[in-house]
Amino acid sequence: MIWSLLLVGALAGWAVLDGMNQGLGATLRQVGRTPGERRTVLTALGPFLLAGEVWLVAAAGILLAGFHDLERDLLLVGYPLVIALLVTWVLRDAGVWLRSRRPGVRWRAGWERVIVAASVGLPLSAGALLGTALVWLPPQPSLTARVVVPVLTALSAVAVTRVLGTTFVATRTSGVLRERAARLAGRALPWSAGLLAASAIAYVVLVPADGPVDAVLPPLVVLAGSGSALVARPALADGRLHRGLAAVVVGGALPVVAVAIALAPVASPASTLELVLLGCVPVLLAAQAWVWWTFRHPVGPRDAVFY
Amino acid sequence: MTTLSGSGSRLGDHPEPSRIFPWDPVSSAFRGPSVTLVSAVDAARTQFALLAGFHFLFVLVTLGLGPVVAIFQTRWAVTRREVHERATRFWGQLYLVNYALGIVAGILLELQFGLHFPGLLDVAGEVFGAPLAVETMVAFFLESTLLGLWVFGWHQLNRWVHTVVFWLVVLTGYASALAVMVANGFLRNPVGYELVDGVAHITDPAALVLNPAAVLSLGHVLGACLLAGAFVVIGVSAWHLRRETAFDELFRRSLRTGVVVGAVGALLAVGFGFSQFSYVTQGAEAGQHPVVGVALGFMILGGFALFLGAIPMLALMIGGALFRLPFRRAVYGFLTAVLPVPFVLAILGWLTREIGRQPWVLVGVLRTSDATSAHSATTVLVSLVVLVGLIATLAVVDWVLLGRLARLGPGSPVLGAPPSQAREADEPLTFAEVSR
Ligand code: HDD
Ligand code: HEM
Ligand code: HEM
Repeated sequence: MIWSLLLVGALAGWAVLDGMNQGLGATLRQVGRTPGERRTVLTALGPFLLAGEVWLVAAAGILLAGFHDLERDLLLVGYPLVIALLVTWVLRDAGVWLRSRRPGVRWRAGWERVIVAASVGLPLSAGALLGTALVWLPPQPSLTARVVVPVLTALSAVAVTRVLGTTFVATRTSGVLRERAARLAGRALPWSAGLLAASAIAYVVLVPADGPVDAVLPPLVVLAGSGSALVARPALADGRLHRGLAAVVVGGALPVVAVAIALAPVASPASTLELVLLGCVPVLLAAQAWVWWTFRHPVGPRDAVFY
Repeated sequence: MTTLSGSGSRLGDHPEPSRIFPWDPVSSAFRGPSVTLVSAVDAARTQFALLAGFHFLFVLVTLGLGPVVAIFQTRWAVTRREVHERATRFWGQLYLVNYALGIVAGILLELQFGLHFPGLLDVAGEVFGAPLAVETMVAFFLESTLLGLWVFGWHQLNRWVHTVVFWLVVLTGYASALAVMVANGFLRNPVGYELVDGVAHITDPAALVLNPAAVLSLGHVLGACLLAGAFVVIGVSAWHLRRETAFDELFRRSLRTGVVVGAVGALLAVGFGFSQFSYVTQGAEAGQHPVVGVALGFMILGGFALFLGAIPMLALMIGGALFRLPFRRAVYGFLTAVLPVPFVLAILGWLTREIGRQPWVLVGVLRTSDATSAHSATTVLVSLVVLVGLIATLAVVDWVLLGRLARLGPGSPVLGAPPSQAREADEPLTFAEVSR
């Protein structure tokens, strides 16, 4: 139980916190039209790049220590997707770190394109992997289900991260950038709601129900998408950005929780480890809270520029 | 392959998961001689070795340069002198640009065990996974979170808090090195466990952590890291001093710090190096490969050379004698030229350790060939080319950038600069005029 909570917590944390970074990367050149605007958007990302991606590093560690059967099976069936996830993750990071290390116009524009492409590829592969876990472990008899569900979850992940990223940029910037980001978020919201609903419907239709848990799962996903759209759209339109951000964060975390409930993997951990990890969780959460609290404001003249 | 027994119904229980591409598109498309030339085991080992090697080249600098940056920042916090601030920002920027690739390569390594050595997880997942989980969940998590705070909190945190944050980054980095070495030490010298139905369980956590193959090796590796960090500092400083680039005081101080750090590193590396023979010689189960003898020979030779070289260097630091030598320019050139030495020695060291372990992945318990996954050689080769090609390209780009930043000198590092100076001329920031 503890292990499942740790795993779901880390995965959901990654989905929303790094999801914001992925969406920010994917829309970098749409929100920022000039080099200066893009540098501002990357400054808004600044402290959160590392703080977001460590959640997946942690999830991988939990998987390795507590769920080696799940890890082995998932990596076996999803081998090409895992490689794609690693490649896009690495490219996204490399783009963000290297883009501003040289002055040349072409150097910067080149890495920006890498950031955009990799930030779309990352949720695409992560979403596909999540769908793969649902319909390949254990293998579903119908080939249609095995193809359609991962494709839809992949597209949903792209849409959800887009919503998260643009809403996040709107809260972290000001002026024209904020307007543009909020507008893009408003436009992406129906897509994420629709794709999540489509994924849920495909799952209901194509995968034979197996127990009461399966009945809870699809409505939860539909609710996540539509609910967050219903709350966030008016909030964004009225400029109540934090309310909008909260709505899309909840909407981004719920599908991951739903998949975890459906899979309900069994842990096989080392017993002494639990105490160590549980003892540390408060410290880790405190460090994260410190970062997110320190940099909650829109970026301004006091913020360090690095990326 | 070993299977878990006596474990109720679980997800991993279903017959044999089929693959996304059941017919293995890669090998059926290119089925040819390559399949017979390289086995999947070889491809998996090569992939791991190359990725780990790249990762380690960056780790050496992260762990070695970290203390140098922390020392300069502490001096800055105490004295508030500009030369210390500049040194912190200059070395800190090199530290960060190196760190970026350390992370990126570490990410690629993390899933290697599950991707290519699932047999290792079946047999030893519980034991071997525990230190790696502590490492990723605790050490990396804190290290990275705090590093973000350090970089971007430059103008916002109190200067003492800011300094402490960086010391914590260094400390958590060392903690993660310990965790990794515990995992790797278990492979080299398995202790503190028992085998039940072919699955290893932890019986003695203290023995696992205090494993000489973990603790002594950690001392040895940290020595190597300090040497590498020191050689970067010394080499770059000597380059600037040779060219008289207007930052004489900063680079003299840096060079002096580098020599002291390097001397400590040489002492640790040689001392812990010999102490490792306590368990290496017992490990007669592991086969002896000719490469091991050669690599070990070079490492010992290099170790002694560095150790003996540290003594005159320390002597030359007294009263800044080095900076007044008549032939100092030649010495500066030499100090820059030898920058790669500790890196070469450290890679030779890992070759000694990892090849010395063969044919076992877990000495005496599990053979490497029994631990690899069911993927075809071609599948593993394709991922090898993709991942290693990617990291090699990025590594070269990063080293070129590091060289450029090192040559540019401490005139105006981006790290810690006010926003108006951190950006390029054509990048007016959207917030610069409005204040919060
Ligand atoms: C002796 C030191 C050492 C060794 C042998 C290894 N590492 Fe490492 N690793 C570090 C020392 C380190 C570090 C110094 O702590 C790094 C470098 C840059 C950083 O962020 O932390 C790091 C980063 C790093 C990251 C990125 C963490 C992040 O996103 O913050 C991962 C996932 C790994 N490593 C994983 C591994 C694995 C699976 C290894 C086993 C083969 C391994 N490392 C060997
Ligand atoms: C006289 C000096 C040295 C001796 C006697 C020595 C001895 C050894 C031995 C026996 C091993 C293998 C341990 C194993 O298989 O478990 C080893 C590994 C290693 N050595 Fe050295 N070494 C020396 C100097 C150095 C130097 C100068 C460096 C780097 C700058 C270095 C870096 C490494 C590394 C990174 C490893 C792999 C990790 C480990 O096993 O600790 N060594 N060394
Ligand atoms: C970062 C420094 C490291 C370097 C440079 C390094 C280098 C190598 C090399 C050269 C091999 C290939 C050996 C062969 O096939 O003959 C290898 C294999 C391997 N290493 Fe390491 N290694 C490092 C760290 C680690 C750590 C920390 C672990 C475990 C926690 C580890 C686990 C393995 C495993 C599982 C294999 C593949 C199976 C095998 O060949 O035994 N390595 N590594």
